[in-house]
Amino acid sequence: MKIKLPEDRNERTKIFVMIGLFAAGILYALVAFVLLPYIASVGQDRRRLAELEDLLWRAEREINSTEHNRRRNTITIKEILSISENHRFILRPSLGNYLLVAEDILNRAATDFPLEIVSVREASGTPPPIPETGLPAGRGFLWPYGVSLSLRANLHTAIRYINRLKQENPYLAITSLNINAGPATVPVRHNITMQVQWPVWSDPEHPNRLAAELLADEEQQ
Amino acid sequence: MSLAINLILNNERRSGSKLSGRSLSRIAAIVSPLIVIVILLQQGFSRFILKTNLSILESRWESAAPRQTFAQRQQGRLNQNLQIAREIEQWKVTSPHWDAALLAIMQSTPEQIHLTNMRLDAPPATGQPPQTSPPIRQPAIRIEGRVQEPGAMAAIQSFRNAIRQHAQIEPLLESADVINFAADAETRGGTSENRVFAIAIKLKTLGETR
Repeated sequence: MKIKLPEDRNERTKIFVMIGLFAAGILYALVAFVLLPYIASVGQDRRRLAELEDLLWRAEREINSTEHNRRRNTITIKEILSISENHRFILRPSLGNYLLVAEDILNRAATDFPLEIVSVREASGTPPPIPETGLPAGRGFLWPYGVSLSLRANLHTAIRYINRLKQENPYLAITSLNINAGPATVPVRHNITMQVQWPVWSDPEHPNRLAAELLADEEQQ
Repeated sequence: MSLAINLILNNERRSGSKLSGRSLSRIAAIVSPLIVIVILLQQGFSRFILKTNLSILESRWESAAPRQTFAQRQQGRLNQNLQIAREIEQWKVTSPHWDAALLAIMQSTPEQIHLTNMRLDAPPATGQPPQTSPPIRQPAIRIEGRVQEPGAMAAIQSFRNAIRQHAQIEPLLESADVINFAADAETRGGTSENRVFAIAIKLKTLGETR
């Protein structure tokens, strides 16, 4: 079939213009409804691919460290529980009372020493209750519990007594110590007051949770 | 004047070149659709590869995500327990060794000096609330005593220097100064030879300063 263009120049131009317009319309439709959505879809898929690669790389790195972290966590919990529960370096209450335990420690350390413990009083109270939302920001897991101790001893005995307290519990801190010479009598016994501080758990249930966590970790092995 | 006679009409003229407008348009009519088809095939293939890779990675991610969540929880627990361990360790580090300090003072005290009062403090460092854990402590010692003239000041200076240089104190020392030296007003029946003095010792901060 042969298409014959009109002889008239004007008619021919009109036909060319129409063909041009039709071609431009088709081209526009192709670009707008096929090419651009296709390019956008490919771009989106490529971005998702890159994102997934990155996510998987991070995930694999974290997953690979799980076993190492679990072992390290087990060791750390054991260390904490050893300090807190086995050695009792962190003061644990007896029937909710810290003072009784502190008094017992101070009296026991004084055995065999020629010193007289005059009084043991609570200097700073027990930690305030933990809110249901957990530990407030900026507050540690431990809380200082302090007692004020008055005793009479000579300086050398006092030094040995302090040394024994420190040997028995290296986490205990004597935050204040006052030695007053008193009247010059022989044998010299000074009036000594000291503030002794122990760390206590802000949440006394925390060691139990750690023990449960340790058990769960060991069961997973 | 020259006279030219065309024996061939214009529309009967032919080019000697192998490439003509018509042959080029024929080649283009074949090659262009071919190029378009090749591009479309290549695009289709790369799209297929892309989709396949995407679906493989999606399924890998679906299986990795819960394990990653578990790993993150494990990491979180470890971080918290390490923080507790550090806090406990800080208590040990910030506990002042007053027994060693007292022994050092005892050993450094010359015979002519009579100590009347000693105060050893390790309060929380400046700006730290008193109930903070782990504590950062700022240990300080104040020694008060009595000494007789002559040579009272020299004895006090020598006492202070002995404390400064004592092996137990020297590594921890920040400063040791005589802050008071005066006639003893309270000595009953004594002579004006009696002097009272006070020495203030500052030791280095114990614990991490944040």
